[in-house]
Amino acid sequence: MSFKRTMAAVLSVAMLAGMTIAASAQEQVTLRFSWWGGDERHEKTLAVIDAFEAANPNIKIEPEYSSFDGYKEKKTTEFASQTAPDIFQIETGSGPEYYKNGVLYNISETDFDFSNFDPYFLEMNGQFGSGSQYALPTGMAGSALIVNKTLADEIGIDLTQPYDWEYFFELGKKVREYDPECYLLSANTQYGTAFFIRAWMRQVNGLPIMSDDYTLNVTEEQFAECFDYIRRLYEEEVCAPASYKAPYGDQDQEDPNWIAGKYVADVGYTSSTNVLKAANPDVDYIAGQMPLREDRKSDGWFNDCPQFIGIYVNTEHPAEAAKFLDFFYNTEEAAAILGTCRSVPPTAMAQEVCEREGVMDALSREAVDVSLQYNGESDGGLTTCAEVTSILEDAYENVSYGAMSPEDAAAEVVSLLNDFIDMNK
Amino acid sequence: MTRKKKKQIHEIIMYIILILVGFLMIFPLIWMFFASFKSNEEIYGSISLLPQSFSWEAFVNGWQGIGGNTYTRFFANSALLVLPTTLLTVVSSTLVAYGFARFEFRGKKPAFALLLSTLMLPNAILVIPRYSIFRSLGVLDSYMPFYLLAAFACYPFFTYMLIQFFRGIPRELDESAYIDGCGTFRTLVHILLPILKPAMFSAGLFQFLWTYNDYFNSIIYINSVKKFTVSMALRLTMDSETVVIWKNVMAMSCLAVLPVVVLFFFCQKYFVDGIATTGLKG
Repeated sequence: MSFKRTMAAVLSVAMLAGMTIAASAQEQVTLRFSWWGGDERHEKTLAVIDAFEAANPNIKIEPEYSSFDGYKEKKTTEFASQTAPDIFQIETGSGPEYYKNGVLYNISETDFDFSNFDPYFLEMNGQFGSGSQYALPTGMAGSALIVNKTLADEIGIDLTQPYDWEYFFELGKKVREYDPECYLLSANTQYGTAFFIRAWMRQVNGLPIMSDDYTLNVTEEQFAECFDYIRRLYEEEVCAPASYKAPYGDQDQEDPNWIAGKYVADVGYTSSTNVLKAANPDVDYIAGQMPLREDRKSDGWFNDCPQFIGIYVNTEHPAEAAKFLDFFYNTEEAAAILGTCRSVPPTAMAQEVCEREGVMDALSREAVDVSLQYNGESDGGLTTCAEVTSILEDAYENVSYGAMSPEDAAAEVVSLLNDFIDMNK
Repeated sequence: MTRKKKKQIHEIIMYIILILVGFLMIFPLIWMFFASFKSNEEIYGSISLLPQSFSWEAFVNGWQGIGGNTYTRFFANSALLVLPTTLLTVVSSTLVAYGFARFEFRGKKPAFALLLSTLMLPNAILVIPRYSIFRSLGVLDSYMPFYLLAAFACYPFFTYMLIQFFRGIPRELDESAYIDGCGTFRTLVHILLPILKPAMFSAGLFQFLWTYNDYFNSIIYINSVKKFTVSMALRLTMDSETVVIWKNVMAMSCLAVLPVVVLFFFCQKYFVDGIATTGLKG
């Protein structure tokens, strides 16, 4: 009797367990999605997650959002211990590094629908030369020259026609003569390095500074010529003094002189147009043309993306993660919610939706259009990796502060880059 | 001039200097408070300290936080993280320090050398190994990493500091306690702790401050926004590609420093005591 009773109890427990398993076979999946950003991006991304969850009740997205501070460090730690979120936003420059380290899932193997994207844009952004999509560009962006049109018109400066790099000196002089408190360019070390060193070198050689096989494509003389150009930018007062700009880091919108409208143009990115405009909303802005060398091998300037979004290679639910990304990129609903919180969206469909809903920022759009007309290719890879970037930025600072002659800086950069190659190759 | 008058003038001058320096020190806080009433244009465009108008709007808006997580939650999280961590640190560090300072046991010297060497390890080196351990224990995205470190005296700085204090207390005190029949634990609790109080307080205060202000460790161990502490929440809204409404950030920063400022005023005595005395009295 007691055996039977025990048996019955055991069996009923087993049956209950069986039922629970069957119920969970309906699969309640939880995915972690992490990104960085500010208020606007957080609110909008959360709204897209809500919309997705409403349409897919069996998938729950656990949002992990923060500011950019500590974001990369956290990802590095998570990769090292295999606890990275299923879906995460990636800084453009880190994309190739992550791909090489094998932390990105091959999105081409999922059901993600790529048909809304321009194939060439996808190839250039997120394939890392592999032929498969390992990361999805979140938008279109590029280097940009944001021009304070009101001031430019007052002084009589036109940056809407093609011009060469020497043109800056002519304009710089004109600006200083017009008003000794004004400068032609507001340039900080980080953005200046991308603008005056990396883009310059792409025009000179048609190649990134360092190829992915650890070939250094730039000679010491070429560096010296470039650094001499930077020295002149500061000596001839085309750019505001480096020591003045230093406290603001890459936050040009916090520079009181920008807010007071004392610069003709800011050296930056298309993605910073919004904040620059908001800092001094009383004047008109346009996106200027970019400088070009006569003897260039390539235009150097290119259009890429402000960030990527990727799927973690160790995710347990790649199909569901791809489903979320499909919703995020390929539905009008998501496009309307997101607007331009990650720059101008990457698909024609989303761009149309933004225009229609009136959430497309005209200046961002204009800046992206300018960057689309150049034929340069992204130098994302070793040239943009953390160590090489800091070597170039140090040189930019040394030269812009006048602490080092262009020749010495060039010699130092070449020797440091060779050390880097020896250490890593 | 009488000697009394001379002294008075001397004092007046001293006070003027002290007030000036004090004002200089507290100026950033005052500026921050008034900035929570200013628009972005006013913050950047004007050097006047006082805002054009007063409204508590920034405090109300700032408190809303982001995505349904308000500052009520962030402050509660901070309390939940900081208070147990501080308490555990003080208890565990005191016990370990007592052991090192008062007892002879095999391997004491190498163990002490080990303790000292961990004191010299920079945080950056510890992050990944610690993270891996906590992952194996399955306690990520919770406050356990902080509690565990605190509970097992993994803050060598405090242990070392307390050891030094213990060494300053004459052994005769312990011995007379033993003669009167106290065990080792009662000796610690009834005889040594009262003397050690200033040191423990300063360890507690510093641990409170450091944990409360810590950003890096929190961002590494905690993923969910609903578990964020105040220091992490403050950074949520700041991004170079978004227009930051600074007055909201400033308003919340004012509230965030409040606990620390209040704590300092109430525990001033211990801050100074803890640093100045050696624990030896009379």
